[in-house]
Parts: sequence; structure tokens; C-alpha cells
Amino acid sequence: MNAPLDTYNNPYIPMMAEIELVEALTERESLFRVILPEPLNHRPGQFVMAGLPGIGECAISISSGPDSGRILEMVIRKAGNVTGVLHQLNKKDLIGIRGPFGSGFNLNDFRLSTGNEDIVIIAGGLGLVPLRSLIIPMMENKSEYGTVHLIIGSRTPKEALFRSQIKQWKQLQDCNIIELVDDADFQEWDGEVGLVTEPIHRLILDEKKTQLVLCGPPVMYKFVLMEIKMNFNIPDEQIYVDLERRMRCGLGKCGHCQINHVYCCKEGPVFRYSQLADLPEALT
Amino acid sequence: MNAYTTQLEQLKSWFFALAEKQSFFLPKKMEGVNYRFERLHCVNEQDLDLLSYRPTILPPGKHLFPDGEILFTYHKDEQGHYHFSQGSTIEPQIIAGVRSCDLKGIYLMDRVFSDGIKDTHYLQRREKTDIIAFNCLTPCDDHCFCETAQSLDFQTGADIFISPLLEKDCFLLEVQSSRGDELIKTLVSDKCVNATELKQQAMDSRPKPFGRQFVTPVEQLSEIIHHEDAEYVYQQYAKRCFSCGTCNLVCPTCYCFETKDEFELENSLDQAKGKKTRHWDACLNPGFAEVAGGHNFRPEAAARQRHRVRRKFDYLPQRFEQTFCTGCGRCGRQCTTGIDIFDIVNDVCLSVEQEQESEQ
Repeated sequence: MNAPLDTYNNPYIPMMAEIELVEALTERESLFRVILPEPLNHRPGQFVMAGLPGIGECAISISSGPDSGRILEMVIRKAGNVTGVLHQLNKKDLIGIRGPFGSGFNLNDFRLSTGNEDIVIIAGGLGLVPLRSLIIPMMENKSEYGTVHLIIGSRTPKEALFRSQIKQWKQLQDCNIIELVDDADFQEWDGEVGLVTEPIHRLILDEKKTQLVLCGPPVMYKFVLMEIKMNFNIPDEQIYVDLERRMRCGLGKCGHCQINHVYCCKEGPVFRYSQLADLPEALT
Repeated sequence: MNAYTTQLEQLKSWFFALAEKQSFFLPKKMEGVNYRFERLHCVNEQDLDLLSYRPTILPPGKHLFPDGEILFTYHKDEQGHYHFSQGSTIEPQIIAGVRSCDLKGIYLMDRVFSDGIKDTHYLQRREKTDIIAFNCLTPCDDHCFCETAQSLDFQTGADIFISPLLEKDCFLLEVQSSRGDELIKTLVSDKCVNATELKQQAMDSRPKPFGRQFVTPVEQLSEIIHHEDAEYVYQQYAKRCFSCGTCNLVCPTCYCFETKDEFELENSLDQAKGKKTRHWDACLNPGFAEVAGGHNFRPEAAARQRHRVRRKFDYLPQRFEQTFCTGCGRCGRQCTTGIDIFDIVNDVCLSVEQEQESEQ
């Protein structure tokens, strides 16, 4: 009568991927490039559960573009036990990956061909990591998209991510990139000093044809949205927020990531601002 | 659907016969006044007390979603490759004496775990579980509010549904599935031709109203709980809430969990062997919605209370079109400070009425 559990797929078993590169980006953050046994076929803005069997797993944003095939790039901040162990891994080591999970972005919502002109992407701190998966396909096929305005904020120059890649993006046509730090902290810095809210009023946008994307620490959303609403009349359906929550299962079951009636891991982490009217817990 | 009648003694020997063949769980009186779903052992006559019942501390549905369940085990070979296996073997079981409130709880969990990406562990266990449910003719105690929560008379999901009849020690058994047909083969019983009539007579003997009643009909509750912030009401209850999560753990429709990865320390520290398990978690616990770096998305006890109430009456009903409170009364019964979801709901409704009155 004892039948083994084999008639269904077990959604908790990760696939093991080989690490191709670990590159320290800052004191706390490292870029992990891994080779998956099969392509992830993710959308920008989706996430994976990354970890090690026996140790644990964390929700980690996908940072590579959607056409990256079997290559997956993630930036992992050393923030706790699991990420601490992941930071000890080296080239050739294996890492467990489940996913991709979540809604993510649809690139068609941004293309010129669907009537869009301006794309504004505002990233605070680690918020750049998931948004990079959206920026990369835009930069790689720049002619398909209108003007891309990037506002990228970090706490200090030391914590600024992907600076050499950003420099390359700056060379592209119709690409308006503003880099800021909260505090130059006596370090070398060629960008601006201030919060990501500060340059917003300077943007020149075709409001009805603008798509705006926002990702950063929880405290950032309210102030950025306030600033946007004060200066521009962008419809709520065209504003996207990429939210952080505690994810455990990624399957919309364990309950930790719930925002009112939605599961952030399933219906999110990318939401249109118009959806948030019904989700008072979203921006707390 | 086939129906049979039988006597108490026949029913008892049938249960013993079933318990001889496989795991058979039944509510059993433990020390004090507590009841628990315990395995029935064929030798122990005292285990079988079919007529007295008080709600068990944990609902029977937890047998389908055990705490600490293994999600997978793994080992790493000498080349460093990982090998995974599916976790614990699941054995067939029978859960008997499941009351309608808990039967509805199990039905709702069936819905939850088969929605979207299927939860294989739950569903496999469910598939191997036969349920023999038991009808209630009186409210189990002062905490019960199953009638107003619309779970009294819930029969879906039981393989056999047993109703006590007016005639002493006489029972009606309704077979509701092919597995029920299989089970009932060993019961000495008579085929019943007037089942509906007999059952109706028994149900007519119920007290009216049956248990506690909400001040507002349950159909309107979703609307009210959804729209009313009711900050003051939740604050009042939060004042005496220890955030211990007992209400979550005893609830037949609470299924939030935390996962845990462990490795064996047998030979080396290289994590060569281990497992992933899942453990019941509680949204009332302060750290439930906390993320790495320390930001807590639901830091106040009042917000967590509201979250729990809304999960039962607003959020999950939006998804599954059913109220997720079954009216079993367990959370109120077990809460150290006597916080009862029934009272919270009524207070939210009353606060709305008061607001409307003061506006007029």
C-alpha cells in the first residue's frame, strides 16, 4: 500500500546550477552568474528562490535579461544566514535554483509599437538589480523603445552598482541617465548628490505616453510617487512598482508575502499602481 | 447514493475492524476535558466513545498537513552531485468522527492546495485519506457558531456521513463515494429506504438557534470586513493579544507555513545529507512579515489581527467564494486571553451600525 511520492512533480526540489562567476560589487553585494541545466525563460522582474539544500533559500531577483538562455545573473546581498553561506561559494560550486516566480513585466507595455514614448525607471539601492532585467532588453534593442530615463540612487559611491554597464548605456541614443548618491561620503563621485526624488521634476515627458517603473527600499515608494503625482499626470495603469516581501514557498501558499488579498510571489512582485488602490498594505 | 441504518454496537465493531487494517483516527477524550484525534487501537475498548464529543484541540485536517512534514531529502555524492528524493512515504489512513465544521475545513484546504501550482504533499496525503464524518444534533459547547458560519450540515468530501437518529443508539450512514462503498462492506447494517425522512426528523430535534449567531448575516460579512477599517475594534483586541499564534495553529483553515532546511551532522560538516521540512507558522507572530534587513510589513498586533480576520472573511473568500471561518470556535476556546474571532466580527459589525446611527 506504500506508494512513493512520485506521481506529481515536487515543486520544492531545486535544480542545481553551476556557478560561472562570483564578482564582489560592493562590500555586501556580489554578482552571481550561474549556468542552469535548462533555460529559465523568465520575464523581466521575476524572481527565483536561490539557496543550498540543507542550508535554506531566499527570494532573489533575476538580474539578467530575458534572452539570457541558460545564464542567470543575480545580485545577492549578505544579509543573513543563508546569504552568508552563499557568499562563501566560488566558481564551479553548485547553487540551488527554483523558479522563475511572480508576474514580472511585459516588454510590449513599453515598446514604441504599442504607442509609448517615454520610459522612466527609478531605482533606489538594490532596486536596480531586478530592474536591470528590464533595462537590458531595452538597451539591447534600443530602436524598439522611445526615450529611456533612468534615475539611479545609491547611498554612497561605494554602494553604487553596475557603474561600468551604466556608462555603456549612457552612450546609447535617447538615453537619459541620472545617477545620484545620498551622500558622497568623501569618495570620488561624478554623478549628482541627492535623493532620487530630486531630479524627477526636471524630466520632460509626454505624460500620456509614459511608462514609469519604480523599485527600491520600502520607504522610497511613498515619496517618489508623491513627487511624480505633483509634477506629472501619468495614468496609474502606466506606473509600475516592484515590491519586496518575505517569500518562502514561491507558490502562493505559505502566506508570508501576502499583501491584503494577493500573494506578492504570485500576483507580484510587479504591480501596476492602479492595482494598489485595492491593496492598502502594499506601500506600508 | 446508498444509505444504511445500523446500531451503536455494530458501528463500534465496524470501526475496530477498519482499525485493524490501517491507521484509523478518532476523537478521544484525553486528560481533563480535552479531546484529540488519536489512533484507535483494536485492543482498547475505552478508546471508542462515539457519543460524547467536544471539539478537539487540533482539527483533524492537520493529519493531512502535518507539522514538520518532509518536503524532500537530499544527499550529495562524492562527485558533489546532488540527489533528491520525494520525502516521506504516505500511508493510507481513515479519519473518523469528523464533524461538519472540520469537514468544511478539509474541503477548503483541498481547494487551497489544488489552486495554481499544486501542493503535491497535501494532495497525495488527501488522496490516501478516507473520511467518515459525523453529524451534530447539538452544539458542542458555548463557543460553537457553525450554523451562522454556514458549515452545519456540510457533507462534501466525506466518504461516509453518519447521522445519529432519534431512536436510541441508531445511526444513519450515507455513502458518498466509491471508497465509501468499499469501506461499508464490512458493516453489519440494513439498507435504508426512508433516509431523508429519518435524517430530517433527527435534524428537527436540534435546538434553534443552533449555537451562537453573528449579528449580521454571513453573506454581508465579507463586504463589511473588507470595507471597514475598524481600527478601534482591532486595537481593543490587540491590547490583550500576546501575538502567540495559538489561534492560527488550532484553526482548521490556517495553513501558512515556514520551511526549514537541515543537514545531518553525522560524519562531516559538508552538508552531504539533509532535508527540507515545513512547519506550521502563524500570521499573528510579530516576525511573520519581516524581511531581510529588518523591515516588518505588519509590525502592529492590531494589523495582524485584522489580517487574520480578513483572511477568513475577505481575502480567501474573494479567491474561493466561501467564508473561511467554519465556526468551530477553536481559536476562541484556546486563546489565553479569550480573544474570539466571533466577537471581533460582531464588534466590527456593531461599530458600523453605531457609526450609521450617529450619522443620522
